[in-house]
Amino acid sequence: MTTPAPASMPPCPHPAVTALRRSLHWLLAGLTPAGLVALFLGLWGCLAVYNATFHLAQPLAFVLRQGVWLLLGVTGLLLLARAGAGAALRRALPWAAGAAYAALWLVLHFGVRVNGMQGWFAWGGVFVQPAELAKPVYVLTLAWVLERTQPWRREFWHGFLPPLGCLTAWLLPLVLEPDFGTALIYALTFAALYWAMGGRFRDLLLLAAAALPVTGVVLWWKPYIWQRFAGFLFPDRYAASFGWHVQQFQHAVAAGGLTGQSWGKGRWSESFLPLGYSDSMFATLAESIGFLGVLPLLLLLLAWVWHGCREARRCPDVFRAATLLGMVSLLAIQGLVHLSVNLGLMPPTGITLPFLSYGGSSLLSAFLMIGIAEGVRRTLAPLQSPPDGSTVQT
Amino acid sequence: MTQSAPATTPAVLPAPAWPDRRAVVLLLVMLVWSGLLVLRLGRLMLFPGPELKAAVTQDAWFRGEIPAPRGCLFDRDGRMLAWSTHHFALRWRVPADPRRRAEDWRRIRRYLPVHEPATPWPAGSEATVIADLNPNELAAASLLCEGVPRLRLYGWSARHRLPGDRALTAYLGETRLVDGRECGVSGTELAHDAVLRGVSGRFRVMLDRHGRWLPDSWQKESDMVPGYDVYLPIHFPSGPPAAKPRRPSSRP
Repeated sequence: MTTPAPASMPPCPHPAVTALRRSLHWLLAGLTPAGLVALFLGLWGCLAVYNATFHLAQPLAFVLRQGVWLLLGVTGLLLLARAGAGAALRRALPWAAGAAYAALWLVLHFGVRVNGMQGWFAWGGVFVQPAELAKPVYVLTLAWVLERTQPWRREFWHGFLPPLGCLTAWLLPLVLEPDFGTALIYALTFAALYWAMGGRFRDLLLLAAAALPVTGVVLWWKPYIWQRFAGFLFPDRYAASFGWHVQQFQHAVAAGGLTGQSWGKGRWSESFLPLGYSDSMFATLAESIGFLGVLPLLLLLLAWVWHGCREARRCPDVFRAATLLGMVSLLAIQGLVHLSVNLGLMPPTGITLPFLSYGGSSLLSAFLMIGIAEGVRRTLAPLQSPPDGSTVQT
Repeated sequence: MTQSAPATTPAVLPAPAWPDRRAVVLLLVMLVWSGLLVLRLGRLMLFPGPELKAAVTQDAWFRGEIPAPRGCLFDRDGRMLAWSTHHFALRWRVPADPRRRAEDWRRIRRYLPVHEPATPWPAGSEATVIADLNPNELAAASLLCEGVPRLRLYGWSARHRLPGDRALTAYLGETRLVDGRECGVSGTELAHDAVLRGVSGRFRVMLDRHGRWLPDSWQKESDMVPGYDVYLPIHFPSGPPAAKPRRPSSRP
């Protein structure tokens, strides 16, 4: 599909330049309001990373890397937003799912271990985290399974077990890494999506009950998880050990006050917070720009959820609705979990803040999810025309 | 982007194949979750309780004194009879872990000319590696302390007197270090102690999680006032006038 060049564009004699202009025009048409907000957040993220790494020896190294990933992410967003969610996406899904799933297993054997987690491929100085890049593919796969099983949605065997099998298959390599934070996001997204597509709440409760013994085994296998819970529940008792991070999160946020400390001078976050540029990004930002600075972040997150839910209600079929709601839910849940951890309402999990935290895979994945959601939105029927019948928003 | 609406725009959207009202409930759940976060944010950032406020402002700060140099004693002819000099020692909190201990010692040896003592320092004690650092060693030790959190520089002062007979020594008196400050305990040093000792300044500095100072966070809370010099109504007659040493303290 090509869009004719506007009449105001001067004629260009060279066909290559004309083709390039047309391609750019075609591509930039995918920059919807949601895409623009994502771009704004991505740029804000670069500033936030600079703020959080200002005290390090080479602060520009972090922000330049983030900038390169931002460019990749914006390109991916534009391409996916223009590609839509038609037959091409369905044809590409098995290949994408196969590649993403294989990467999750391969990283267990060929990946590198960082902070006790075997979750990254490393080529030179470039680190890629398959669990992050697999997020959009996971949502698409789940949407596909939900569509196939929709007629039996309120049945246990044919309606609940297939999507649960899909979730389990994706969780298995994540648990083996072990990356329990990302596994939690995957599981919460599954619960939100399954229920939104008409699933029974009873099934989810049953799943939670069945997960209890599994959780016990995991706690026995990885005692540090239990220690994190203990630190979260009794931060004062374990102030010097497990409760350290929980307390420091609160101190850093409280140090921000109404308007925050100066930019790049978040002393508490740079001295006491673990990974102030990624896992503790919100607390770092809160200390630097204060309550008035971080409140718009939360509002933007809510605006994205509202936009996604509104558009999903226009989807007549399950695949597109589940895809849109899945992308919205995953990004929103990830953001809310990150904020909850940083505000001391949840035990530390090591989840990045979408668009803002340092990390190329996370940033690229967030942009791809916005791109897919916008692509789905483009395929929907236009809204009912106004009485004068002049124009409608597409 | 806007475009002309086709004449066949459907007036009513087809009924979705899924219960679309649940999307609204999902939105409400997220709204409630966000509301809780905003409440928590406001509680922490706008209305922190006294305990949290105290923790934020006090727990990570180290408060210390800027020692005031003690004033000098002069005879009536301006000959310096007693004066103080300031020195720095390098102290090491000896780790219990032998590997860490060996690593620390290797790094210390790399920067400073020190030898292992005949009797090893007990683990957990604070050993004085070098008692009086010269200027070059002080510069090296400062760098070393940034990399090894168990090392610290310790400032101390020494009181010197012009050599003389026993009567003069008794007249001038003695000083003793109390909490790092020189205090007169006998003779003239005690009689004029309030004037000589000056007033220590106070500072505060934030510590990182390893207990190291964050240089940017250093703040002076009160000024240091050096001790006053005291001119005594005596004449020190014995021998030729001694070479006048450099005055370590400044006249206020």
